[in-house]
Amino acid sequence: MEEKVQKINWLYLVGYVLGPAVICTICYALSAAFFPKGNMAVILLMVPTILAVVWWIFAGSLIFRKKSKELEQKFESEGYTRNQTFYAKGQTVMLDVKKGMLGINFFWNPFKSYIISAKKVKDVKVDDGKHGSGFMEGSSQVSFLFTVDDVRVRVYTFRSNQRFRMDDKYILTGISKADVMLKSLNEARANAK
Amino acid sequence: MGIFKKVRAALRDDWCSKCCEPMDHEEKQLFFLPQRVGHYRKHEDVEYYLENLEPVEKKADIPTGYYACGAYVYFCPRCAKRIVKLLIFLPVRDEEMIEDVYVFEDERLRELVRGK
Repeated sequence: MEEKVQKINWLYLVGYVLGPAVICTICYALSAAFFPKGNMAVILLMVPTILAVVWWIFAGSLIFRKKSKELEQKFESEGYTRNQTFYAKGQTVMLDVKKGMLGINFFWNPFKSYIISAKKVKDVKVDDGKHGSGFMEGSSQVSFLFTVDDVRVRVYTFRSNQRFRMDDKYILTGISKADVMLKSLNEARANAK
Repeated sequence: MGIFKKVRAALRDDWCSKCCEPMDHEEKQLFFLPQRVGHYRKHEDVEYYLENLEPVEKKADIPTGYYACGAYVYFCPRCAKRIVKLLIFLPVRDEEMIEDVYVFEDERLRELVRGK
């Protein structure tokens, strides 16, 4: 039986957020108990703090990017062609349209990558994020969505902290990318065995 | 010649830069440009367009996520100058996202627009 798609590995998420904090706390406690002054105190207070900040800022992206590359290689080594690959911040989605296969991995579950039949994909749609009316009409995000194994996956093709008009270049590019993925996903579903 | 006409000729592609008069619109043709959304690269040389433009009948013939190029031929009845304006755009549903506009004075491009 195939494993069900899981967006978040809670152990990884908690470890990623709290792990460095726990190590820092242990180092601070050691410093307070045994090295209240001197070089060792500086090392125990400064080094874990700096490493923790570096970890929180960069490690997630590095791990995810490395695992996405591994998924690409695995997808191709299994004899599939990447007709479409979309690198989003939270997921990497790849498709073999002719053979109807989908490859996906998630930012918060990077150690598990999935290569599944596109038959399992349902409810594919594009969300242009449009809200407001009249001159206030606009959007700050465009995404395509699909359901796989009852898990709703939203892949952003454009996201911003600013709001743009619906005919803005960023929004139209995002919609176009999402439309391409929608079309490819539907084609892959039709070709899947 | 009025300064306004000179400014207008400088700003508008369909005005003759030499005579500072509006040019006649002769022909137009829609082309498929083999460039994908998110991977668009500017090309300012006419050779690229001569090699890559593929004529299509209507906008619906452009595959989703690919660029299109509208080509317009203008003729100046006073100095007999002919130009071809290329309007590169991405068709997105009912909208057109204009990416670049180029103006060429190239006979081969004009023939391509004419379908020769």
